Amino acid sequence: MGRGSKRRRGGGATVLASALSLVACEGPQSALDPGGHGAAQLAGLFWVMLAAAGVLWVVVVAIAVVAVRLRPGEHRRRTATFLMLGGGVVVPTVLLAALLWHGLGLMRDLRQPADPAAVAVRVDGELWWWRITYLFPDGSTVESANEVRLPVGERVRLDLASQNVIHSFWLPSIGGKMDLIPGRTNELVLEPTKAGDYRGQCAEYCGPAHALMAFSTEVMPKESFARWLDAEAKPAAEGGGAGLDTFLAYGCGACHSIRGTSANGRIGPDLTHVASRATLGAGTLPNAPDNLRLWIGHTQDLKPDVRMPSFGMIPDADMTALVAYLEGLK
Amino acid sequence: MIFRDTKATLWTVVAPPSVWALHFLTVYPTAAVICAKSADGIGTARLVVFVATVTALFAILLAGVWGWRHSGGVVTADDPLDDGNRDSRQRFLANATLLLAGLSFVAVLFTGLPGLAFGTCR
Repeated sequence: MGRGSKRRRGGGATVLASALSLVACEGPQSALDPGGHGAAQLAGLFWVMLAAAGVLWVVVVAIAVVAVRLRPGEHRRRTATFLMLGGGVVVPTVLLAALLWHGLGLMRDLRQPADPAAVAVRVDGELWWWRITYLFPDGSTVESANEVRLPVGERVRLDLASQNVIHSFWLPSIGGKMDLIPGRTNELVLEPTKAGDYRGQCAEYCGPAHALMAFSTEVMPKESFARWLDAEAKPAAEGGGAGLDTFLAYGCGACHSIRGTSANGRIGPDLTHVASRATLGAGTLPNAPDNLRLWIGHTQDLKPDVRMPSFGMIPDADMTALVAYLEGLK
Repeated sequence: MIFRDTKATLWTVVAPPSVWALHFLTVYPTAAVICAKSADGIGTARLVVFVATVTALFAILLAGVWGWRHSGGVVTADDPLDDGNRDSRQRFLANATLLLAGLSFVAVLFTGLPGLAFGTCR
């Protein structure tokens, strides 16, 4: 086998690696697979900058190859000065100015106001989960947690706030990221353009379980969104039975609310429609009965330092009733 | 007159970056305070940014021209700028002034550019 075939195989591996890295650009949490107006703008900016960086890299390496390998020895002073001043001062200044101007234009577009008639969403960063409150134009609200649903094609305002530490709301498929800063309310406007399921993540280190502070997002057609929001505003299903009794007996209601019952705690996530959410523990586990049982019994093992203690002491029969009840809260 | 003065001082060297710093310390808090108080204040904010930027650019330009005149032409790596005599010191300080003026000019321009680009406080 000659050197040529080895080189060809090396080339094949490079192509494969490039293809694999491109596959990684897709998915529910990728800034390069946009499902929103803001994300599309930012992805476009990224590709332009990547292409420009590629061209610059080729030019710089070509000059280096000429200077070191092809034409070693002394170069004409004028040429050298021209290249250094041009390549080192003039070109970067002009390119950076153009990029700055383009970026400012993008910013102006991204900061356009929300549709005044659209439902707004208040997002509170908690330790370590997301309190989500839908704000209707008439002033009424509906509370949920760890899941943001948005109507496709509308510019929706998100009011970002925190009562504890700094968090950052990042839904890369839909738009840019913004911090939640104690003492102020930051406004982020998102405009989803493609229905689908996405994933968001806290993007500012906020404590031990920061990496487990995620949320799911479903972008829905407008009519489905309105229907879903109507259902979300309603109290929990009737007939808790033994499951609800267990819930109340173990004191869960001190921290969690289930609208329509006496459980009205404000410390943990609202569980009125917990069964309809995609994940448990702010993106820690997929929402399924076995996982819910695991979560209640081993909370501190699954998400260290979270405020909810592990309830491993609940007897099996009670736990089964509790899980069945909660998984019925669609 | 500053243009005739051939006495080399450190003041001309630090003048352009100082103007840059002053410009930044003027426009940044002014825009922030005006926009925090009222979203309609953008007109005032833009005016302040514009006036501050033009003034700063003019001052930096003056320093740059001074540097250019006293550099005695383009300074290259072969020029003996560390001879320890008055002339050498003079050319070094003048050239440093010129280069810092160039840097500060671009920096002030970039700092002031958002004032031109934005029509609202959003």
